[in-house]
Amino acid sequence: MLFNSLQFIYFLPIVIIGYFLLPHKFRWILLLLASYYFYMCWRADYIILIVVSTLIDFFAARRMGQHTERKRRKKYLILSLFTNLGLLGTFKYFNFFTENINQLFEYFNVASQIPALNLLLPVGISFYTFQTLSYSIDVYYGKIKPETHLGHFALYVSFFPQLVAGPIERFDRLSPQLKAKHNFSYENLANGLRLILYGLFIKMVIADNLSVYVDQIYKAPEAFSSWGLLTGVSLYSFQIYSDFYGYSTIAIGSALIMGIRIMDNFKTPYLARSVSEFWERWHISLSTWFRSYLYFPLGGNRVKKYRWMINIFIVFAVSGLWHGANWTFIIWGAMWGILYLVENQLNKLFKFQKIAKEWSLRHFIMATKIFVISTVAWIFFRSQSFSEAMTILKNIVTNTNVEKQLNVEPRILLLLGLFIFSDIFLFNNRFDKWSAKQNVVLRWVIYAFLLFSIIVFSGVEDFPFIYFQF
Amino acid sequence: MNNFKKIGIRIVVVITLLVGFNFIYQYLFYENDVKKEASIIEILPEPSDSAQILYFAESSNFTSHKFDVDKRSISEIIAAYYPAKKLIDVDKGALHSGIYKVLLGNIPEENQIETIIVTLNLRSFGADWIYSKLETSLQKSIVLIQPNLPLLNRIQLSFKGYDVKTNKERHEQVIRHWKRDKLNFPYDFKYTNALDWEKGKNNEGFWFDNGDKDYAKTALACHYIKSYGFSIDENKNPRIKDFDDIVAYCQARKWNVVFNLMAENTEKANELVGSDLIFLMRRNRDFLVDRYSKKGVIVVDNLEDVATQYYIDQNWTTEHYTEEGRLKIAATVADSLKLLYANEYQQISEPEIIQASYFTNSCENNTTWQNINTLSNEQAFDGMYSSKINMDQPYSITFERALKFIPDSTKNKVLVNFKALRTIEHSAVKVVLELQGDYVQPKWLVQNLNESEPNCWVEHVYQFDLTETDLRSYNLIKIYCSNKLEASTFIDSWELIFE
Repeated sequence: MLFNSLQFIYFLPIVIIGYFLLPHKFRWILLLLASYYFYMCWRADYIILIVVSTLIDFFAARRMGQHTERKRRKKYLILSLFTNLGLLGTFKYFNFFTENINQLFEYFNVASQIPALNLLLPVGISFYTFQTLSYSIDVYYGKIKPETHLGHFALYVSFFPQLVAGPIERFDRLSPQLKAKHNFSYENLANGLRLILYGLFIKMVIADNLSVYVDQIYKAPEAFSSWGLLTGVSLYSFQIYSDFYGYSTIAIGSALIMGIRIMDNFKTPYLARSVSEFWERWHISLSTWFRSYLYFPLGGNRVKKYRWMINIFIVFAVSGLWHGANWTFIIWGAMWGILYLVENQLNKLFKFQKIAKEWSLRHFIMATKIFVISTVAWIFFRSQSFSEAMTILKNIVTNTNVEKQLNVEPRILLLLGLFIFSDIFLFNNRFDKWSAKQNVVLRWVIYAFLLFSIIVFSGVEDFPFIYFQF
Repeated sequence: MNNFKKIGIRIVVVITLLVGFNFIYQYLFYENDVKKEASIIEILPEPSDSAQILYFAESSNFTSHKFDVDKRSISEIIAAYYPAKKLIDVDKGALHSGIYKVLLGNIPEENQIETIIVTLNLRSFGADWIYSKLETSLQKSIVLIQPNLPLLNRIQLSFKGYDVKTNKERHEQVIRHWKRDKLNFPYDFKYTNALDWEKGKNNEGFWFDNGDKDYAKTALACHYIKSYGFSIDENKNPRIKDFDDIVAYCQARKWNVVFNLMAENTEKANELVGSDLIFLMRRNRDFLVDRYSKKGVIVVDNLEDVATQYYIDQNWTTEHYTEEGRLKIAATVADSLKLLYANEYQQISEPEIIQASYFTNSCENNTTWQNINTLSNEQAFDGMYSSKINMDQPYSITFERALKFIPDSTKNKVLVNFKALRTIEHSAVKVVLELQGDYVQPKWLVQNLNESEPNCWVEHVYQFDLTETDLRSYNLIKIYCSNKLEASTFIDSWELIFE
């Protein structure tokens, strides 16, 4: 089920009303059933993957909890890792690896070919497997106690607002909230609806409208002028941001109505002043996941410098691979890793003041730099292949004599401008908190504008959330 | 209680806003949105057209063969039988009852319509068409023209309140139905569903004499099974509901309803798959004829009326007919319309299919030949013009005719006679007879132009023997001269005799 579907408009109120009408001890059942239904609306049979992952992690963690010896706990951790990474490997990466191995075979004139699997990538598999993995690893290290109630654990794995595209929540943050008794709060309802409204606006009005233009330049980059291509790739930076930010905002809003607070996933990333700050503001739940479960286990920064640099590079490259089984994603991740290291070294070398003062001219110059860097990186992220990305980059330079421009409707540009303005305005703030403080007239004018835009100005092409494919 | 009051007030405010939005949307944005996102509505006639009969159809109506002489659509031919009635077609490729239904709902109250003719396409009841990958865009195209408030339609469009599926999901849907929907033969049959049947047919296959598998023929047989191997379930098949709705709607508006059950290539189905498939096709046909006749609809049964050679797509299942097929179907529909318009019916003469064996062209008035852009007044054997050929325009005016319009008795040889004037001594002009067919490579019979004195008109006579060519594989014959040199040659006074 998509957040921007009629189905969800019916589904959410029913779940919320049911949630508050039911006695507390039955609420988890409702939420679990609702979450499974939410997932099964996309494809019913793939729910089995979530169930398998849930059962194995639940029992593996229980077993880990019964042993104090690391050695004995380890085999259950391996079981959990094997299951989750196995699912991920089979459904997401198998064909990528076999394709590369087959190419290698071909290069060395080896006749045999590994056949590809004809499997549909389960929506959100990267998100829920990472969520359960974090649980198993935390139990292994003794940071949390294993959950004793299978139903509660199943709900933690599958809680519908963040099941298919995050934010990836930690067990110790989300599970207690799912178990706690939440009374109906008008404030939560209002704030939740504000976030849903704003999230729908940026997904349906901004991202979906921009995607039409972005698709045009990626379909025929040779046909557009340099300026047209630059416009198109810049629009993609806003498209992917508004698409994912929109989804996360709706997720946070939907959970908030029930009194459950999901972590923020974005904090105006294009106003970041450095590469490291960008990653503190972009897809925060994934960045922190990698920091906790890959960067620190690799030694973090408590190792020799060259080793630290390798660690950083590995974390970014793996983060790229997490997004998709394609070299373009790995290159995208590796690019960020290199940029991170270069920035770090330059800062040390020239003793740059690391963070510019907020709203200073330097802040805007630094933010522009980050926007340009991320826009170039997104070219690799959006392209289907390395050669396609290079074609775009080459045509940006060479197509100066091509006349065709990317003609964006003024209405779309105006709406995009409003979104950029609101995003800058909400720097280090959130729409629900900001709007709650405004006077009633201004507040309702904004609501009316958002609602009208969502209904009348939404993109009409069928574009699912970009991050669903990851 | 306080919370309920707060929520209640806000709900009222939101409803008021939505009512206001509906007005703003309707007057400022709706028309533009319909033009952009529901352009399908443009296929409906303008109210000012004052049509009395509307003919709703898919591509079966207008698709013609490239060798057809009569390119008219089925609806145009039907209209010719009723010159006193204005018949307008409402057609577009891949349309089906679900779309016709919505289009009908958009016909304004003020109209002159008396009768609605709708194609009842048997194949459209199968999973292959119901869950076709074209369906998502078709469904999207009718969202804004549903009979609701404009804002409600826009909400449906914005929130994807229509059947949205990816191509892969559509394909899975089709497979699921082929697997799940039972064939329900009243006798023992090896297979219970279309998918197993298709697999069985694929394993059985067709084989060439040399022992190789005929993959193309086998695939076509399988495709026939997938297209027609189903039993219409009156409770579950969505097309039934759509056609029922069409009948109810038309009757409510006091329009006569005619369902035109389209012809399918049953001969081919029988040849490739056999009588079991024909049994299903006939049973489905009987069910539809019976169901809708009982509802007061005139059902025109064309299912087996078109002979196999009159289907344009011999390698696929479509309802695309050559002129003979379209004429046949139109005649049957026109005949059935007598029930409504007996006095207005006028017999039209059979199309004049002129079979001829003798053709001339003096390059003056006869513009029925091709490449008339080569006509030039620089030189002429008689009259003002001749056909000038050189490297810029290498092909002379061209005789082009469907072979069916040349009598079989005169298809043994062709005598080609014309006058030519070359501007240099040694030219490389060729006289070409070209044969074209749907499923074969073109064949060229070529002779060099005989040597002759430059700058004077000389008569040339050539003979092409056709006895060694299997003309059944070809549909079209062309005769022309070609010259790829810079120096021009002029050709005039053509005479072609088929013997």
